[in-house]
Amino acid sequence: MTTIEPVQPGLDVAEPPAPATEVILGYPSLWRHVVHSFRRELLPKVGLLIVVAVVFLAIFGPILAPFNTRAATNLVNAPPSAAHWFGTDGSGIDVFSRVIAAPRIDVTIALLATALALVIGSAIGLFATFYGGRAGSLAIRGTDTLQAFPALIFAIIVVVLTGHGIDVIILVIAILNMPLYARLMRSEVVRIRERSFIEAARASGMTDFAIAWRQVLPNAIAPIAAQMSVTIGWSIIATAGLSFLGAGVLPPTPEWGSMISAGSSGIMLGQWWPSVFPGIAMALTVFGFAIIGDTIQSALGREG
Amino acid sequence: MLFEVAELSVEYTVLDEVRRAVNSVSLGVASGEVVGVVGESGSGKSTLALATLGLTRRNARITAGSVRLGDRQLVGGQLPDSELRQIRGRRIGLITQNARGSLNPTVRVGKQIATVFATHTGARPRAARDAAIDALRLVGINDPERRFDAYPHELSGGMAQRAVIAMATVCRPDVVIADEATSRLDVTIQAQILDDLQRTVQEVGSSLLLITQDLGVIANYADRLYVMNAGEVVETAPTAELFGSPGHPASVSLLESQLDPAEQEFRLRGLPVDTRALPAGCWLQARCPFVDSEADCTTVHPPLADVEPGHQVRCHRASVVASRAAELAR
Repeated sequence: MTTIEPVQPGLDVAEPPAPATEVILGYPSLWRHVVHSFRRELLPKVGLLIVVAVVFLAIFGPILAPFNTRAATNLVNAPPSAAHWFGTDGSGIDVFSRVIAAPRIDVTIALLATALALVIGSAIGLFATFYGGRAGSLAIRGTDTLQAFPALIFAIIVVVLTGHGIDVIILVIAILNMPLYARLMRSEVVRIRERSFIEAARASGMTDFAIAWRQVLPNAIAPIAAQMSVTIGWSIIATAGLSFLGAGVLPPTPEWGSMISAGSSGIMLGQWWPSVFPGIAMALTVFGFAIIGDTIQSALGREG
Repeated sequence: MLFEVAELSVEYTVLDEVRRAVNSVSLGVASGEVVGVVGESGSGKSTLALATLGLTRRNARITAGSVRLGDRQLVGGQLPDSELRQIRGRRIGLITQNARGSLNPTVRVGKQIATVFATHTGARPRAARDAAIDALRLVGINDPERRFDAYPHELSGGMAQRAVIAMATVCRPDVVIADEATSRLDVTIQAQILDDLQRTVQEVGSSLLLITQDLGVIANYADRLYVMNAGEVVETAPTAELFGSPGHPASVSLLESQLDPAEQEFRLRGLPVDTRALPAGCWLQARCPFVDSEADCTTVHPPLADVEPGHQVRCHRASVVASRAAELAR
């Protein structure tokens, strides 16, 4: 047997390559995958176009409307024509003007409600899970309880009782969506907190809050971003649904759900335009947001 | 001693079963000293590294012992959490096993180093950036201004490891603990990284606690060694002495692990002892080629006993082991 001697690693090895070659090509980030999808594929482009158009209408729709969106013309139930592209409704109001003015209500409610749900839900999911403890579990169980409520019935009751305010509709839709974000964030936190860089951050003396905010959160936002546009679509349907049932935005405010509802009685008489046009507008909008959510989701899968 | 761990114990609880990962471990690091902790995988080294900072994994806890740095009692004292945090990262830098995993994938590496510096010094972003760039330069990263803006996935394994060393040394700590700092790298890079680490530590005036399962790696750097097995220190000696006259079967096994498998006569075979049900007597008895029922191997747990000044062995048959090892070396 030979002498036991400490080996000297790397002594007979050639000089290391120039450090510049040590940098390897990084795999593209999530963001670059998303941009790539929007560039290369048709459907994401369509979705993006729809969303941009709808957001544009949410801002400028009421200004661009060719006719007054609340006052009648002298034509009642007129079919689509050169003057009135989408016809006029039972009260004689121009349907086209109302359809392009409606995003001001529908999309604004959906965007604000989603933002609120995302911020509150994620915050609960992040801090309650990361800090844990009794208060943490209580917060998580609380949001679970919310999820057990029958959503639409809860919304109808609250909105009707409080007088159909847009602020209340936003709040109710936000509360209904919040548990989803709390759960989503919770599952991300549970996954991320076991990773070594969290341990390294603790060992480097960072506070729990700093770790939650700077280490956990940035690694958790991607799936939440993908969920966001799904929630926006859902919120648009919820707003219109409430209004359709008369428990949301009240006429004559231009809003797709109440327009579909008001025009529905005329469909039997062949007067399809007061309902169908807002229906198509709404379907397209939800479709657009859904595509974007799907694109982010699949980019997320590709990033792996 | 600048940094002293005394009778530290850590237990994991898995499905209500208690596993003792670190068993009454005592070790010391003097100012400017490089100390090695060696042991096969599963011997409790990483758990020990974390525990010296008062940290454990979620399902573990420190059950006994103390850790002291200078005049501060980190573990086993009454030090409030906020003060403990000021020591972590500032006075003790920990380099964990998995370099890329230790870096937040969503944040630029330079920024992560700057954040550690700013957390402890309250430095403004500009000054923290400069400190981070200096730290990157010190660990041997070329063009640190440019690397500052790289994301972890854009760095090679060696670069990522250097960045982690920079993060652990940016506050010029008193002690740097390197837990398997190079075990995931190939041999060429390993040597470079260890040289860079040693140079950096000297430059900032830190002591170094090198934790590894590879004796060969540590031999050129450590002044003194602790050999761990089954969560215990089983032998401690100055490096040259441990290599010259190892007194514990676990040490002999680690030394032999560098040889051709055909020449390995005293490798410990089998799996590490089940720490849920430790046997009476020596914990290594089932795997030890030197075990002897005439000695107390199967009845009395051996204490850590002096064989020379500064050389302690936890073995009933230390003299036999030493003479056999010496015979073989000849």
